[in-house]
Amino acid sequence: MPGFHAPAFWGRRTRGLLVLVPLLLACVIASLGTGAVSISPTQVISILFEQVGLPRLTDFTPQQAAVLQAIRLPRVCMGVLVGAALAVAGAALQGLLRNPLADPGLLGVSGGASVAVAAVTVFNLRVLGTFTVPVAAFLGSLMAILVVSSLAHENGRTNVAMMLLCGIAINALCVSCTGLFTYLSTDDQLRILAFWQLGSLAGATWTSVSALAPLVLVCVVGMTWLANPLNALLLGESNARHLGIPVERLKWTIISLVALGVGAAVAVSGMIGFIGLMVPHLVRLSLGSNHRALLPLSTLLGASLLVLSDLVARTVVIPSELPIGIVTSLAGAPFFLYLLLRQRRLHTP
Amino acid sequence: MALARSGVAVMQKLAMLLPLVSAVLMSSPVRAEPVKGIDGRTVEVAVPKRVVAVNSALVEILFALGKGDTVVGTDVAGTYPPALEKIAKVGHPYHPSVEGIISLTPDVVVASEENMPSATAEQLRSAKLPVLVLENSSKDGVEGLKRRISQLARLYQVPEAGQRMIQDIDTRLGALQKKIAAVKKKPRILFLYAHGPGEAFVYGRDTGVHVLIELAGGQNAADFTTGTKVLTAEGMVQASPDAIILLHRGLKAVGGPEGVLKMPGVALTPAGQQRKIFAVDDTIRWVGPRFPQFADTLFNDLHATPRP
Repeated sequence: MPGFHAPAFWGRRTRGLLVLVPLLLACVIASLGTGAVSISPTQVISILFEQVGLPRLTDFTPQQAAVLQAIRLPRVCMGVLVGAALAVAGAALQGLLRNPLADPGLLGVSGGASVAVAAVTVFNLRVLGTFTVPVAAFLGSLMAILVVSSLAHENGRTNVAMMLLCGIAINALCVSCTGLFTYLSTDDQLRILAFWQLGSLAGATWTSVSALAPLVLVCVVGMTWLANPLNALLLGESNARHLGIPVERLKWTIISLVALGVGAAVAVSGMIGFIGLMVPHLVRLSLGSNHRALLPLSTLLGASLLVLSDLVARTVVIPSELPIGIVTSLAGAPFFLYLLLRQRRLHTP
Repeated sequence: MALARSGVAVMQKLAMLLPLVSAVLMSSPVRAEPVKGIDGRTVEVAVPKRVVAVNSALVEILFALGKGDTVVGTDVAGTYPPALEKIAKVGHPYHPSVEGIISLTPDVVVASEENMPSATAEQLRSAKLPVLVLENSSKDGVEGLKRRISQLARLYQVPEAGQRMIQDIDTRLGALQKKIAAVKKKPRILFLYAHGPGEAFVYGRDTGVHVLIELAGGQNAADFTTGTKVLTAEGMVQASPDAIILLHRGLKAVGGPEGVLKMPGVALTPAGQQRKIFAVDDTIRWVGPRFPQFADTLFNDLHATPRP
């Protein structure tokens, strides 16, 4: 039956795309043009044109070109990638665990990464040079997720409630281990840890962006691929199994994809709260919970919001800048509360 | 009248000469002096006119060299000289903002090693900004300070001014040494880094604080090398300092000397019993050119005859 589920659903996803694709583009362009060094939109375009050999529309200084190419462009790219990874992972996890509170942090992603970063910082490990901290963060989050998932595994099945509880316990353990390392750290190390935990895209370079991009791409494409099975899972595990969904394999795939995308994002940007929790909710509140719309739209909205937050972080205290984690939570939390309260008012007679 | 007219004529001639003179001045080549940073990277800047300096001790050196008017940006930690208030701030001393620095269009960025993460330096360099990274500001005490002074003096091509600063430091420290030799006592001094009455950190030996204590003829009562430790009552009693020092803002935050006496264990130490609690400058974590004065003040505080 072609077109059986069509009208309402296609309408929603298309509507969402029509709003969110231009939004992301607007955020990217605004972010590229705004900052401590001013570059007008036409100058942005001219600089990009010159890169590919097209004639420039207007004049710009070599300094503006250098800032755009070496600092702002990789930074905006990283914002898009990190925001997309955090949001799509949040959306998929909320679907998988059938719990609206689930976000990547809950499964130990950020906790495990913190412990690993604290450990390499305090023990002064520099085996991989500047890549030591990112690689440690990635491995730490991967480890934590693997521990949580295997603890929740019983009789060949993953118990979802167990997974949430184990996540909470492992996170508590991670917090105290991080605390222990913080206590042992010297002044310099303490500062590194403190800034890492507030999150920042300031360290973005083309090297880190090109390391991050393939991982996030696999995560986003993979998740979107799994939209139908995730929809089936909304009916409950046994129903999904009756529909022929390999539930166990689905769980492991999603958890691996979360570890991949979010682990990589946390590694390059530190801890950035609230995007993974808030963005899927925003999409769901306005467009429903069909994963075929939810996953791609969350990706777009997450990318837009993170680019926007970074723009705020870079510009509110020019020529200084704020850590981005402060911005996402400071702006995100009240807005999220407002949406929840409005939702409740709409649904109570 | 005639005198006045001839005066005008002379002025006119001079005015005609002016462009010529300035052209000669402008064209005289200003050679760049290569200065090598601690990270092995050399900068070559023909006498900097705009500099962003991250680290309050470096800013003080620049002002002392008479180059304060070239400082167009710095971090938020500096408090001296007062002219700093009007200078743009590029963020936390340990986390300066890359784009913020670039937006100030400096000729060169100077920073202490601890205030310039290598990734940040690379980003600045990729935007074609020369970055001079100098030694860690607490490494090697006054000797390190002198090296940083002569490097900055070289960057600005005023080696004599640097020499004069270094001599001044030596003279002051020499005078202080004589005073120290006369008392023959090495008081045990503990530094508390406090933000409020509730908590404080003790600083170890690897810090600017330690340099100051030694210069003032004391010994650091903290027995550990690197980093900081949370103050505990028993730790305080065990350290048993003869004097306790805090930053001015720290002393204010805990409520003055009375507040310090109420902190864990302090009342049981010689410092607490004799109320030897002193404030030191807020920037002493970075060894700077005013250290001889700070050390002298601290020495005088330590050995002042107690009031009855």
